Amino acid sequence: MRKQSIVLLSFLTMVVASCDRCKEEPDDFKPTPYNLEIPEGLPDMSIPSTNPLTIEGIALGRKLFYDPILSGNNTQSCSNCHIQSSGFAEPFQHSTGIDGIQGNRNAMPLINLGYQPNFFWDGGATDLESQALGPVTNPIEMHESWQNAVSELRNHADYPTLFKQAFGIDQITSQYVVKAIAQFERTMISGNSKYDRYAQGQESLTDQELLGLQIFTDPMKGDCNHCHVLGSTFSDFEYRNTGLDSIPVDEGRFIITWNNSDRGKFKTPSLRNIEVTAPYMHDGRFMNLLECVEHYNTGFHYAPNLDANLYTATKGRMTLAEMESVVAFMKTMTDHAFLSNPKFSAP
Amino acid sequence: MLGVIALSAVMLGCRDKETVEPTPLNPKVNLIFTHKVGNQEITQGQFYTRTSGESFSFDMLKYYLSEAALVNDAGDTLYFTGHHLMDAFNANRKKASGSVKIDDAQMSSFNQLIFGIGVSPAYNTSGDQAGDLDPGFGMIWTWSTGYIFMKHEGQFVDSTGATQPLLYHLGTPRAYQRYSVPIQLQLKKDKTYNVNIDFDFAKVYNNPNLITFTDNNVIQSSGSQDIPWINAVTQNLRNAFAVTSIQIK
Repeated sequence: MRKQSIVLLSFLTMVVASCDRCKEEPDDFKPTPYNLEIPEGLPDMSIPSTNPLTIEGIALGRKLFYDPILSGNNTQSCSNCHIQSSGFAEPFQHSTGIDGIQGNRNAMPLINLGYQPNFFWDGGATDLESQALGPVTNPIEMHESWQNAVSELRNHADYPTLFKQAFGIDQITSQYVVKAIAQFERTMISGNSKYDRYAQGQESLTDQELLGLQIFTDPMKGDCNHCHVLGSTFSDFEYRNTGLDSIPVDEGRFIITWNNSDRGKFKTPSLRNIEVTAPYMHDGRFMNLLECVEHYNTGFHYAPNLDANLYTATKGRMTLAEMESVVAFMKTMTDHAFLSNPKFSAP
Repeated sequence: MLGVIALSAVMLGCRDKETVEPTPLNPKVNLIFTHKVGNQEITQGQFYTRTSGESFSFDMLKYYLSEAALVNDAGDTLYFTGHHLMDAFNANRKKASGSVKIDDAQMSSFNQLIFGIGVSPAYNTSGDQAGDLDPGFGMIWTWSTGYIFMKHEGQFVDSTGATQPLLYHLGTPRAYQRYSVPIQLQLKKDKTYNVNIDFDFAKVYNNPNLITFTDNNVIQSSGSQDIPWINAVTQNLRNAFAVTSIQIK
């Protein structure tokens, strides 16, 4: 009888203890929602419901962005080719991966990514989370398998706790690595340039910059804002063949869609912080902004898929002074506060 | 006394775990794949000779089996699996399982098994996924979002007798197809059905489209030049599956 009572008592204790656990466990995970501040002039950003922004998630993403643990030999992080002072691009024509192999495209700036419908120069990545999967495994970039990367994170002193705090998970997976990085990237918002302050009536432009603005929007001159939509994101995020070559070496968007009409097309990049993201174009062929403007003035080739706006544009329609004024105007899009914002620097 | 213990335990237990109704469980269906070249089950590294003369091997054979369903005489389609990463050389990954939600006796008779090879369009637009679609399995492309549907990596011996690598990665949205296999299946609740299916690579590369490895040995579905190969393989896959037996437990 006594033995049975002890059994009963211990059994009841077990039941009560297990009940407490099943009640409390779901409440353990309480990440702090992050209030994303959108500067005046930029649209609201839609955040995927599958990856809401949290203080813990963003901090984790920032740590991962700067941590070489995600590369094959732990020598390179995202930040090796995406440098804050260069608008999170890189001042080299092509990036070099951990094995010393160079790619064939120029590293893209990471600015206002939350507004973009897809990623890479050819739009091959369909969401920001998926985008981060590629460079980690690409043999010419970080050359790491996700299996290894995740295993290193699971055996790390800090990461298991940080992932638990950010996502409530006990086991790190690649899915949550890219979710965290995407959260950090969505906070990298730039909207405090001289142009923005001018648009808000807080600062004036010089005469040369004002002339540049006029040429930028004049359909018979620069006609730049046709694609680099004035203000806001300075891009329509469409794909165009801008006549860089008569026969494209890199087939661009075609590699993704396999539609002939997409041969040699690349995504319109934003012009924000363009002053610091040299060299330019998908292959980094132009060293300065004047070379870019000159390309659209006289340099473009009549490629089969040349964009209609360029096809109908007159070559040599801008004078040197007008082109220089466009460059001066483009430099008003530099957001110095963004380029040195400690929230985006190495933790 | 024991009765009191049992009663107390039930009363104090978590409410949502209180009772287990003895309702009959939906039948469970296990699709068990045997990977073959003709009559031979494949072994890693062994060479198999094709009717075209080339011999070839498998170092890796992985693929996604997706959204399997049973179709009945009335045309109802009852889905019972999501996406399963299959691996010919991993004993735990040769089987895809699910329970079929049959409501009444009329719905229990099936004459067609359908499934996709690859990742269905709804799941192929993001790598931000878990389970068998976790990118950690190495079944994603690096240059664009989406999954590699099937990986066959091995070697082949060309016409000069030289051994060369064979690397076939099937994928892109146009490669996603659903395949239909005849089956005779009468399902009853509380039962498990082991459906044995042969997946024959002699047919994958031969029937009706002959795919020769010589000069065509590395294909990664990476451009429009690969469209004819994708079309040929997906058309051949229609003939590559056969239900060989069903065990009932």
